[in-house]
Amino acid sequence: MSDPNVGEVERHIADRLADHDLNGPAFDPRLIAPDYRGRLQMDASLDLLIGKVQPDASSDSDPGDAP
Amino acid sequence: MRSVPEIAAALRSQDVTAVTLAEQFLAREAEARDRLHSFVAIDASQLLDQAAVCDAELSAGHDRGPLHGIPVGIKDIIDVKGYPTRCGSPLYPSTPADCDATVVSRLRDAGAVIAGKTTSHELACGVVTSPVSNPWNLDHVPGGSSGGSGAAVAAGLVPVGLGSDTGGSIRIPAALCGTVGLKPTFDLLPLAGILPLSTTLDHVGPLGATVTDCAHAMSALVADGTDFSDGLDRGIAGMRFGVLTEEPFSPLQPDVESNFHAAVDVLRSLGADCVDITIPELTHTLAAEFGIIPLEAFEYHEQSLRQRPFDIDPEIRTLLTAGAVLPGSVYRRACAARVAIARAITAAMTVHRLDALVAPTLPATASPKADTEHAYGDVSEPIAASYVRTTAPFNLSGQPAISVPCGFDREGLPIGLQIATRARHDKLALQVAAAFEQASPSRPRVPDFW
Repeated sequence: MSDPNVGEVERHIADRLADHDLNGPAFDPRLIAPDYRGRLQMDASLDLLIGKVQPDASSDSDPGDAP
Repeated sequence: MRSVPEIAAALRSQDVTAVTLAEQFLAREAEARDRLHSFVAIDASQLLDQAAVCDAELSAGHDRGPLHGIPVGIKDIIDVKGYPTRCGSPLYPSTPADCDATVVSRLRDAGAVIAGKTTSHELACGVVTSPVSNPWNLDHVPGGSSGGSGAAVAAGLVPVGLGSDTGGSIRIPAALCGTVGLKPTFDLLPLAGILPLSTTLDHVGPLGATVTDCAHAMSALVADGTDFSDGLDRGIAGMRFGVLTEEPFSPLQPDVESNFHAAVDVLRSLGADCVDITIPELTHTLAAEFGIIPLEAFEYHEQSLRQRPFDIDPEIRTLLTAGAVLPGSVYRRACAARVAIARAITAAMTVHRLDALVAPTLPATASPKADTEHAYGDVSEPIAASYVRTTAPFNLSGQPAISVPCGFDREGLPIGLQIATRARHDKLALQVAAAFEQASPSRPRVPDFW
């Protein structure tokens, strides 16, 4: 997974927060971004274990589909 | 007198009554409360009433088994009828639960007396469990998230406590507090009535003063007639163990490393064949663990996060928010990684013909409360990642894993040995741990807490 630049990351976070109606000072994308970036880096490290596949990637835009 | 068999014998010889035990617990907990903070709620009336019933039953010849009349602590994410389930969080009301979690109901059926609710790290999502103190050094953490149960058992308040374990939350406080802690096989024990954190990784299980205590608790918790204490004395001669020393079981604090190798020597002295093995897939443990938890935790806590974000600790709020904003592929890939790791462990155990894996439970002993990182030479690591990297492999695989005390560092803080067997071989994990416990030179030590 590519690592978007800072502006793109914050815009993506803001969009996702809005999707979930998470508003207000507790949800500042600038404060969330470092953790988000770290988690994407951790995810990228999984390429070495499972390859670059995205299992069932058809609904990739929706994170709320846990079993 | 602090183990289940000792107390059980005293009850049956009428050297003590369940009511006396309950009264002793209440007095000792009150004495320890301001230093230990291991219990968040105790209903003395309920406790004494249960104990009186147990005494009456024993007098009438109705013996429910080894736990009959023995006080047990219950982590405060697990419902106990008549107690609020606060989960270490202001999000949860003071309304008492109207029924017991299934595991609590089974403990009651086995005669256990519910001593009270033990402190949980907020939402069972952390490894510190503030404000609980470690009985071995009150300035150090007890671990978490079942830190209240760990501290209560280590201090001798109760011989058994219930905990939950999503990334190590039973084994971490067990190792840091010098108790035994068993994360059973995934899905062996029912989770009904217990706050979830990650349904893929959550487990419930016992912490005990000894392996036998955990075994008796497991017999009650499984409740299918299996006696988990049967065969604990069979030894380990002829068994074959895989010794895990590479990442994520490295780096270690030097005292942890030396005590771990001494523990492996003890296993060898008992007739086990111990061979070094490598499972490279385990280097991805944290990526899998921390890829699964946020989304599943967010799914459960979404409404609370939206409506009362400032009633959630900032670090936990960040984790839950990650579950909302991360691409779904992160979760799915972490789930795929979990499967790959589980398969790799199974394959390694098959190829090397192993009965069990042995590893240090944790890379470090109990941290001072103010610390946020562990230092390994020139490398520092956040405490949560440091404590979880050695325990989480077995949450991902779902196989049973037990922590048993194996020594102390130079400051007198406990160190744990971790033993993991194949899924559904929980009795074997207890058997190996019991053999080690009997042979371990550190076995008699208890904290100078009182």
